[in-house]
Amino acid sequence: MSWTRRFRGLFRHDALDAEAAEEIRTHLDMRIADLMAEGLSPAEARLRALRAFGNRAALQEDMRAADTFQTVASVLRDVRYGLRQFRRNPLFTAVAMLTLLLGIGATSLVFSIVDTVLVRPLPFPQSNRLMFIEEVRHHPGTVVDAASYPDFFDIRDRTRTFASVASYHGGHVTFSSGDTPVSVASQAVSADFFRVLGVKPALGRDFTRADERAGRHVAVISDAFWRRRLHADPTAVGRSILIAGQQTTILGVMPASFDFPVNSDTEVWLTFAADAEGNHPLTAQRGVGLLNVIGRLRDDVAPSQAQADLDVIAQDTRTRTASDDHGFRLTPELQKLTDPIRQPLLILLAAVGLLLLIACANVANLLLARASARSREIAVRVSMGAGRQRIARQLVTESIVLWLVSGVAGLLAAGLAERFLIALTQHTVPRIAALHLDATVVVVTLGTALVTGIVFGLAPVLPVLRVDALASLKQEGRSGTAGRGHRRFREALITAQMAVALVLLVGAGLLATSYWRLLHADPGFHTRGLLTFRVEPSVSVKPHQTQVWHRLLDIVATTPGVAHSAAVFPLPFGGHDISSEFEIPGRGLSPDRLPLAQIYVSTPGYFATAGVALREGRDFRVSDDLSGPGVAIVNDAFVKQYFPHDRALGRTVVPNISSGSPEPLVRTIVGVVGDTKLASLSEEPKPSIFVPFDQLNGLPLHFVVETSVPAESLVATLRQRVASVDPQAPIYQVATVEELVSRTLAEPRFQMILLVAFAVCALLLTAIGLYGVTSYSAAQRTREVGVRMALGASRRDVLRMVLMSGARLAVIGAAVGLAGSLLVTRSLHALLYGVTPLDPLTFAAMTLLLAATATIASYVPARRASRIDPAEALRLE
Amino acid sequence: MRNTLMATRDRLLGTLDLLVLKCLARVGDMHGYGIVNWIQQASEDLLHVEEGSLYPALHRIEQAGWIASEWKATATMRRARVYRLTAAGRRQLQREQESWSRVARGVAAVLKQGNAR
Repeated sequence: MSWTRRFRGLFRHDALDAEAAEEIRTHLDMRIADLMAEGLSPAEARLRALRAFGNRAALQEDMRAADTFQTVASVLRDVRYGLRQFRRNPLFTAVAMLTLLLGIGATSLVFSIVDTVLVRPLPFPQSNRLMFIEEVRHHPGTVVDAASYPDFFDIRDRTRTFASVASYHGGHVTFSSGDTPVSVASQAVSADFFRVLGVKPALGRDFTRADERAGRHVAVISDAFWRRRLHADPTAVGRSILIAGQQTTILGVMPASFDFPVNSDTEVWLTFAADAEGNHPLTAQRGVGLLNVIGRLRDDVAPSQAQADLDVIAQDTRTRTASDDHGFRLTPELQKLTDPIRQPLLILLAAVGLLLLIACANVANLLLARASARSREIAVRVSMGAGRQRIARQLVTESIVLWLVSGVAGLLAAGLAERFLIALTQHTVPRIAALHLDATVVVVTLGTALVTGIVFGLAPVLPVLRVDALASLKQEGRSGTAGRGHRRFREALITAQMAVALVLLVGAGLLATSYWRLLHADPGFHTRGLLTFRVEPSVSVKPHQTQVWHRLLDIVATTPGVAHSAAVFPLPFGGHDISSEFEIPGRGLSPDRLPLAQIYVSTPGYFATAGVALREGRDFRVSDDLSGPGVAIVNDAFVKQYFPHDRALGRTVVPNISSGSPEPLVRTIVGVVGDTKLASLSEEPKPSIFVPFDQLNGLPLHFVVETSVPAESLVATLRQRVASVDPQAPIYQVATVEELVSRTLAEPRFQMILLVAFAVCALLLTAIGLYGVTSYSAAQRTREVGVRMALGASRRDVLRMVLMSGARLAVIGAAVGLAGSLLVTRSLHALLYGVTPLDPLTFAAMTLLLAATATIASYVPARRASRIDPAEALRLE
Repeated sequence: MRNTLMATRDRLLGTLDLLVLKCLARVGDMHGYGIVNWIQQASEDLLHVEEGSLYPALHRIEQAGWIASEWKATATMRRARVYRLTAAGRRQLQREQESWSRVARGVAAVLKQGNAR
């Protein structure tokens, strides 16, 4: 037989089968003829010939095996057979596929998030060599801080383990072209910034050390800036534009793909030349932690060696500055970037894995039910000579086909869901915008489908391997039973499902409770009816700039539609954070172990406008400036920690912040206000010191405006009025306080929604599974029910009997699930606000929910069983 | 003593192939039934080929290219699949016959040794 025929055999086995059958027939005929010639009767001759041949079906299969690439052929045949089976049972197929699609699709989606966000390398050459460097102090508590310029210079000059290091810190600069100034996101970077990342400008060049010098005004711009603001001017490099009131030369344009810091939407990169200006420049102040520092390790250096190198540099700094608490910490850049989201994502991945297990168990249960319905068919095939192995393989192939088809559908569904998910999370999850189905996701998804398909697809095979062909056939007309072991297995599956579902429910319940508490958490200020925005005066020289600020404050306050207005920095939920060491005179605090407090600067009327409670004393006044005595206002948390027993009012504090004079100002506490949250609703209030704007040097301001008209209509008016004071001052970061607060809820909302969705799916699937198992065992006990009823059992007895069989499983499942929940919910600890991981109320409520669902799921089949006509049930036999 | 040639892959499989090739070399073209009968007679009724093993073996040997088959009318005017030895089959028979003789001689030599007490 030729190769082509052999290949044809793969698909056209019918013809080959016919040939084999004929060959066997010929042989039998010849034998029969010979035996008859020996004197046997035709019947006897036939019997002996046949007996000599043994199992003909098996023989024919063996011959076919010799004729074709048997494995491939039989797999193809099994696949075709399986597909035919699925077509014959569209309802079964639809339910099974939808269940698997849900499980595999959700897994695929969460996996692709984890892969995109946590695993995929950063889009820079050899990005695993990029390390983030932070400053660490251990007194009074461990504080991880941004580095100062002198620290950065120390590292840059002395390192032996980094190929290059760079600093960067973000802000906004005003870009003026024509009449309307705009504020764009900017970064002040050191010369090697782009070289550390390993990316070159698409046009022009990047920075050199000479560009770092005070007085140099050069910029590298983003592709977006180039296209949108310069209309993709091909001669942009070398062109001079007005940035922060300075004629600035464009050195280069970055490629469109360049996005660093990730998700920052930076449009302009400047050198830190501006920070080097003046008599007392930032670049010389070791006390100001401002910089992000990133370094690229040399190829032959391990991170631990680089850490040792940094330790030596820090030791040297400690010696020179006579400070005993100063060090550096190294973190791989990818890890630094993804740290906050890592745990939530891994929890979601675990949760979706549980959901997948439930879905698979459900389908395994369905397959088992169907296998027992097919046990007669299988018994017939066994008795006809089909090997059990062969049938087992057939069934597993069917399962795998089911899982793989669902896996492909799940992939497509995940692809569709991605866009929705990106929209939901793009502001909270770094790198999520790059989410797409890539080869890794496809391979992992289909691999998961294949493995779960093999494992759970084995379920229907177990009873087959035990099917007693004769016994099964003897039960003429009765639906096949695969015995008690079979039922036990199904019950174990559904019990495990309920346990897993309860774990998911408890987790989701905790997150939902936590989210609800967050929504109702008191931030310490009003969130309704408040508009905030920033203005950047075009003059940066003092005291001229201060005068501009006052005129701006006045003109905003007198704008029609503005009920109250004031300004503050940092604005709660505005993304900034300032803290400073401070001293309380008379407390004898050691100079290098000073405590830290949150620092705010505010203008008179801020507390009233924002709705911050004034506990005692007074707000700042217009007269609280540098000509008067230093004043400060502290919050409840500050009083609680530092003046727990005596009045704070009238005492003095000395925060180490610049007020224009060389020595920090001694400030008398004139008021105490309620605590306000700064960055998230879940944070603990921190001790805070407010100082009046006129007694602090060099901080910007956020306007806070209580409006009596819709905010949108007000913004245009405000723009005009601000322009009348300073035509080159843009209004930017316009948002309502409500929006700002709500943005911080996006991440917990995303976690909560996904986990709740998984838990609801798990509960539904479990209910369907329990319904299936209870109906099945009720149907199997039809005869028993008939007998019981004939012997006088009431319908209520039957109802109770079936309900109890479901309840028994539910109780075991719930017990195991509760134990499991107790073990795993503590991993949620960091995500919870206002609720403990072992919250008894949530545990109880979710157990009840599961119990109620289980009751409903077993009530329907129980009712059906109780309506059985005993006469008919008995006649079934 | 009667031996039934089983398609036990590790034992007598090769022997069955050898016998089939020998049969076709000796008596010329032959169908499966004839091969069974010839082996039984030629072995003086010591070897019985099981049909369940013979046909898969025939198809496998054909795949190996040592025999070829075609549907022909037999002497009794029946249509039967008749197998014929190919040139490659003849060479294979030579090789297998030699190796079988070596094995047989070897086994006989071993068995000739006396047992320890």
